[in-house]
Amino acid sequence: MEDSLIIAKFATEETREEAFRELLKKYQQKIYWHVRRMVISHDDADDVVQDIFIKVWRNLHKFREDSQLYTWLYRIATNECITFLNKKKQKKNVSLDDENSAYLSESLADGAYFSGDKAQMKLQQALLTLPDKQRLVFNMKYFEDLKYDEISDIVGTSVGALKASYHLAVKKIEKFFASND
Amino acid sequence: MKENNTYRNHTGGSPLPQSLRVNPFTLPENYFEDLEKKTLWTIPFSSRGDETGGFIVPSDFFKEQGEQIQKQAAIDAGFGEINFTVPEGYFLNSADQLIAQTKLDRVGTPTPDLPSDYFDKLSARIIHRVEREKSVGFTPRSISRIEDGFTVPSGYFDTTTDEILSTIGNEELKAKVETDGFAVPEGYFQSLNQDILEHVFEEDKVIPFIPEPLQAVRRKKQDKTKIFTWLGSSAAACAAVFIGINFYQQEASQRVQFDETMTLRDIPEEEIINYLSNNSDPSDLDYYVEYIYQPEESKGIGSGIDAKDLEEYLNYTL
Repeated sequence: MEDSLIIAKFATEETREEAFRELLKKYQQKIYWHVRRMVISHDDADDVVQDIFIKVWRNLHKFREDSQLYTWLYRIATNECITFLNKKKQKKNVSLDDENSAYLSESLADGAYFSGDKAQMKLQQALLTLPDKQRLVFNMKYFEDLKYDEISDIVGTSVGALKASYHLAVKKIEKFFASND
Repeated sequence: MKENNTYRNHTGGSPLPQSLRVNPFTLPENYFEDLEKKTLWTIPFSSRGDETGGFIVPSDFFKEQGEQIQKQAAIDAGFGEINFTVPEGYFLNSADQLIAQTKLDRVGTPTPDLPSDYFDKLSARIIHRVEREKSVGFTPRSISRIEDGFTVPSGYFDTTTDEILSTIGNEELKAKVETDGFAVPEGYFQSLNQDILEHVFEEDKVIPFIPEPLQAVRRKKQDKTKIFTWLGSSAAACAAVFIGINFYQQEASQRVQFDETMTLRDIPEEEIINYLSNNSDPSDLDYYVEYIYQPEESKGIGSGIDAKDLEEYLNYTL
């Protein structure tokens, strides 16, 4: 179903539930993987994704269609991820500046619901050395194949800054691979 | 002695007709003007009174000349002892050989085929091209280069190198690692769908955290774009408790189902702050200020927030 139709049906009380089911069907997995790559743990991702879609249910009637629907969804998902990660850090008394997030590394090392090979594990470890925002940009560009314009709409950063951030992230990862061979 | 001349004999009248009194001789044009110059030029040479004719020779030239002639004679006598030879017929064939060599040299450098009028039109083409470049305001690092009608964004070539390098790095990384490696339990997404729907419809039946009257107040606001959420979140906690208590009492008469076991006080403060942060407009601050209790000795909204916490919030909020 087209996004415009989902929004139109959501505006009507009789078809609201149908529209929401269609929205879930269309975006559920994308949002899940977007969150999972950030929070690493499946259980954490599950919680965050449910929170996200509850928010979507409550606020979709306010969506002004000044951006694409998926951009709006990604924006909510991104905000929820960052909020979640900050809360985790506070609970574990980890500094917000700490890029080498120990709790995420623990989740990764746990190996729960991770079927990747050594190279994939190494890449995830390399990503955990990046600041959360840089990791977010990398994930959206590398794994989700979003365009810079789309990422810019989601995170509210200029395309030039995103390109620079991605370029630096790639360099850091290459360096990590080279020093951990 | 009596002067024997006859010219006085005709003093009584002119013997020649007037028509013959005209000077028959002619001169080159501007002769007398040039004569003056020639005369002045000739004077320096003629006034010297010597035989050099104005030419100068080094001093002691003639004295040394004799010695030099004798030396040259000795050298010439010495050359007679060295036998330089040339091949037979060398001087006879040298001219033909030189001509043949020049032809060979030309063979190594082929001349390109050019249109017959190429050079005739070349200068016009160059001038036209220069005029065109001037008209589009070309500069080596112009804001918008125009090449055959195409433009490029400003600063494009400055960032191209980095982009190309990151693309190469990206491709090399993708060759090693294409996916993230994460997995999910079997049937997870089917159950996720159900879980979300259950949560959503269950939430819809319960009284909202922020009662209706405040929602109505929010609807009256104009749509502003200023971002003051950080001030809003700090005042939200106080405002929510104050407003919630007031409207809680009004809600007792409403038709909406009310869960007596759940009160606003039971809801964690953090949840209220998060909800208001994510669902309020920046302009809510005006209304929070209006409702918030401010003692006279209050220093103002936000004064109780640690600067470090504010900075961390600003740095880590998208």
